[in-house]
Amino acid sequence: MSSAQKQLVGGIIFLAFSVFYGWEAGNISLFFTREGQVFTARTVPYALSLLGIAFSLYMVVVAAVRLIRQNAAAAQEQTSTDSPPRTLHWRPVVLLIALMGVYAALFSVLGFIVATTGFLIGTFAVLGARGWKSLLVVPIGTVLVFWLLVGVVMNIHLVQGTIWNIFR
Amino acid sequence: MFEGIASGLLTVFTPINLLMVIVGCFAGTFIGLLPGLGPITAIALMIPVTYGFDPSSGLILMAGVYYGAIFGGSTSSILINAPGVAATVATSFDGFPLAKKGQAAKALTVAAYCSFSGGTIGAILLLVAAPALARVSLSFQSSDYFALMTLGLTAMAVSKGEGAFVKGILMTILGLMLATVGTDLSTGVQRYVFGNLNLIDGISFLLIVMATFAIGEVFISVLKPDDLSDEQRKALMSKMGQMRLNREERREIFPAAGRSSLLGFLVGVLPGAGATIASFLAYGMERKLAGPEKAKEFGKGSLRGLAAPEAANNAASSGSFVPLLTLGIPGSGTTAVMLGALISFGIQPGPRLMVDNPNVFWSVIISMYVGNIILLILNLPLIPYIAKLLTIPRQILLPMILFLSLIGVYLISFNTFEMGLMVAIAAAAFLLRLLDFPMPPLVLGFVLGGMMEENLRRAITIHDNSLAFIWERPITLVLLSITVLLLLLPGIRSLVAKLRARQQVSTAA
Repeated sequence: MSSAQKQLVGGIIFLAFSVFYGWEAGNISLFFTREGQVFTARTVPYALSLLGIAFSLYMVVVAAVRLIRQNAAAAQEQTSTDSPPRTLHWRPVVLLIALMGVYAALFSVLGFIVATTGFLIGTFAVLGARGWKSLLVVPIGTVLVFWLLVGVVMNIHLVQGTIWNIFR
Repeated sequence: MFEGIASGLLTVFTPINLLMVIVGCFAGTFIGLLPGLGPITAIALMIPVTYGFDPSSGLILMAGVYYGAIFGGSTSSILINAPGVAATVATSFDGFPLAKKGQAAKALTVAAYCSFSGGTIGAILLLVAAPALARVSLSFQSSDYFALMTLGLTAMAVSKGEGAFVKGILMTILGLMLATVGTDLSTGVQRYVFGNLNLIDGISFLLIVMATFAIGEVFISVLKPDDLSDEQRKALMSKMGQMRLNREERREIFPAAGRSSLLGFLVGVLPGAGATIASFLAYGMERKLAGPEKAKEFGKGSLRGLAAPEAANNAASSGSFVPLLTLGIPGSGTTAVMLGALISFGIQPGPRLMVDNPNVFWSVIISMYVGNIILLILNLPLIPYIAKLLTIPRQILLPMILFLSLIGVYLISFNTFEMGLMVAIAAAAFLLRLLDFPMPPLVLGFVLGGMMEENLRRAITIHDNSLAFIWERPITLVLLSITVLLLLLPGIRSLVAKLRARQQVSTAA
């Protein structure tokens, strides 16, 4: 993606977000005693929304003009100099985000020990660790050391997991 | 001032606080060594650890982490050409060529000496500058603070460069927007909560920092892994060379370190400028001063080229504490994180800090100097061993950072909703980074958002519900005028460039 394209996409994202933010500012409820005042809880959100819309519109317009000029100049070379080709490893990133989401969702259900061990094994595997030492000893060791330090020595409560209540 | 220094010395030289400096320096060096991770991530990872600590001890630990992380970043720049942060990019220009020549140990020694020199000169200047500025800033009112924060945020956005200026501004606005989530403390009204009770207290500062920096860095290093394989790293580590510097080399680097330290400190004080600009300016200055013959060595392993950015970035780090400690306004992403940490300890930085919490004020300044000494004493002989950390496989290190970030946020709130929110914000921040949006302005906007709104509200109320403070308060007027000038600067620059280009074309014709 060329820098102008990045600018355009970024500008559109910010424009949409600023409009949504401004729209939602209208839904901020005010106490009736404050309704006539100059400065309310809506003032800053409205101002930020307007600033966001103004700057993102500017960005979109500048990026669009740049893209049109580049296209007009048949800037195939230009785009290639903008972003030198480099292999991007999307798959592990997406898998890591998914694993983090699953970890957050299952943390209180499975408890710290099981959820964290699973999370570490998963992330190690996604990043290419192989062999029982990397995939079992390191994750289990890390979890046990952390649990001993935080849960036992520092006496901080680490969630045990609601699923285990079934067996009690 | 001398009383303050004495109380600072007494606070720092207790066994527990000395231990904090040592642990901080080590932890910071370790985290800073890891490619992609810099002082912001290092300090953010320390925040959950310091909860429950005495404020002085917590802040001393963080100051140690800060210095350690900068030193660690220089080490990875020199040894494997992987700067942990932008501030150590200039270090790699001559540091890595030296390492490739088999003089890695010498390069690390120069880096350590110059970091020490920069840190020392910076700390001394901080001792003088901070109390003086704090006295001046006692006359500041709400409107002046509002104007100063606006200036700080704009300067930060402008510092990101001409092309990234609007992106920097938009990220600042996004940070300010995120800061409005939760209950408005002045009116008690809920904003952007969407009926979710977990959002009533707003978004945690730690969550934002971890999501945008720690996790973001992991995603980026997975998406774009560095070009060196584990074997190549081990090979580079195996030929370190000698650490000793001869007299000629010492004569070459020490004046350069002195000049660059002074320049670095002055640049660091400016809001938004920071260590990165300082290191590049110092590098450029030394190349110009070196003369045509010596200038040719720059970029090929010049000791002077290594000394200048190293001294400058450390001095700039001390300089960036001046606006934080005296005005309560961070001038960089790292000091924004420090501000968040200070607030979490119940301490409001600003002109009253020196009066209300002199122990904290002075102990932080003194601990910086002690941290520099400890870094020199401990790290110099341990350099070859510390460098071995770079050979730890990334498939082990990166998941550990993810785990520590997630569990760090959980241990603060004991709420798994925050973990989920962090994943969502990390994914969004990662996409924004891919679109070349800078993250420090977001953190700065988020940290300053609440304070800015409060000061603006107070200023408007004091001035009978009007914006008259803009022209009635001279300090406010001057600060806001500078802000407007900064906003116009990119436009003026491109206009001047266009006019020059036209002039050249017309003279050529």
